[in-house]
Amino acid sequence: MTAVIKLWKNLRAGAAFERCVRPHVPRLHRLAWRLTGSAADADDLLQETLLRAYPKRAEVVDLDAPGPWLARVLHNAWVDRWRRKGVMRHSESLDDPDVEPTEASTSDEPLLVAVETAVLDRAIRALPEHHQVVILMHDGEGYTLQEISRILDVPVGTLKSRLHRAREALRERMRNGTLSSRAAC
Amino acid sequence: MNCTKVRETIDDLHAGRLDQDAARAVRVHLDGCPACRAYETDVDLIRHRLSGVATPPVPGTLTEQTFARLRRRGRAPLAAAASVMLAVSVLAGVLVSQLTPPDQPEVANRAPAIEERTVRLAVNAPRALESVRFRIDLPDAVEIQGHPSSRTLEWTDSLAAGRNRLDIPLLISGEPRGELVARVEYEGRTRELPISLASAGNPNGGR
Ligand SMILES: [Zn+2]
Repeated sequence: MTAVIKLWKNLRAGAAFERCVRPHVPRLHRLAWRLTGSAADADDLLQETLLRAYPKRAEVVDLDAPGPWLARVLHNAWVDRWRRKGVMRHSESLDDPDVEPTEASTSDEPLLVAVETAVLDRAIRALPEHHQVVILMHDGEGYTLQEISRILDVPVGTLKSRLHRAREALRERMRNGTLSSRAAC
Repeated sequence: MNCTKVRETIDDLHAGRLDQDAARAVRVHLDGCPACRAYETDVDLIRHRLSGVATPPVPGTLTEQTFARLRRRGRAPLAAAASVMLAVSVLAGVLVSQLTPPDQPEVANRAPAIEERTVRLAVNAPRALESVRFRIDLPDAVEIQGHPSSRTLEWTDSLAAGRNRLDIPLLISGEPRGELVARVEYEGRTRELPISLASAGNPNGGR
């Protein structure tokens, strides 16, 4: 049997890649900035994302929604970066985040109303990695849990619970005034 | 419905993803639970603060430079050494035939003479291969049917074990100078096949 190599699909892909990816660049850059916390690192990460995505351009241009696919490439590139640097982030395995029950806080008052954005940002960066990521993607960049599920390859139900835990952890830190502590989670 | 369940469901409520009964149950709980209402207020605040934060714009040149780099990468010639490695290529063989449509006029004396021809490449792979790179460079006066502006085609694909066929439908105007060059590269090993299009014959053998 002779397999037929798909010339047309790939021919189309080379030219279509730019057209397909361009509209997603600003959002990818924002996501990169949110993850890295630095404009220069965001530039590098965005560039690496596009370079990584390009060899798979035939696949990209066939996607109904390339945004989450590209965000997945970006997230993987980011994870690879800090792994390469040997940085030990709060990993899921160490933290066992989605198994332990989280107490729903009983405070009757909102805890974050008086908090400045910069302080909130610092508090988020002090959260474990997977909590940061889900809050930054969902509440910051507006990805739906379904999209984040595709980006991180984590079930929606797990993400729903994770997002809730991340928010509770943030509120708890605000309540305790332990913004820089990582032990509270 | 307990507090944790309600809090995990708040995003669905806000996005209108709950059915009527579930939405009502969450609202009833919120009405009677100040702690969950406080949570809801904080969730709104986090989202508002994060989404409203000023993010740095993409530097004007960054995207253009990156796409330009990708385009250059797509055109980058293979190192001369690569073709020397043909002998050890895992790609067992590349076979070419040229097919001329049966209704091709014997004598084309009306200008411009444009000939349709399909170049058929058969690529034999000893096993299924992923991430095989293909590249086709066209000589002057030759274009791919339907893609008049493409001079170089490059892409990545997989090969099935055994024979793989690639048909390249061409439009040849006048007498092409130079050769169509097909390259197949796998893990740094390359097969390069120059194909003469100089005459409408079948210079490379059987179909
Ligand atoms: Zn409640």
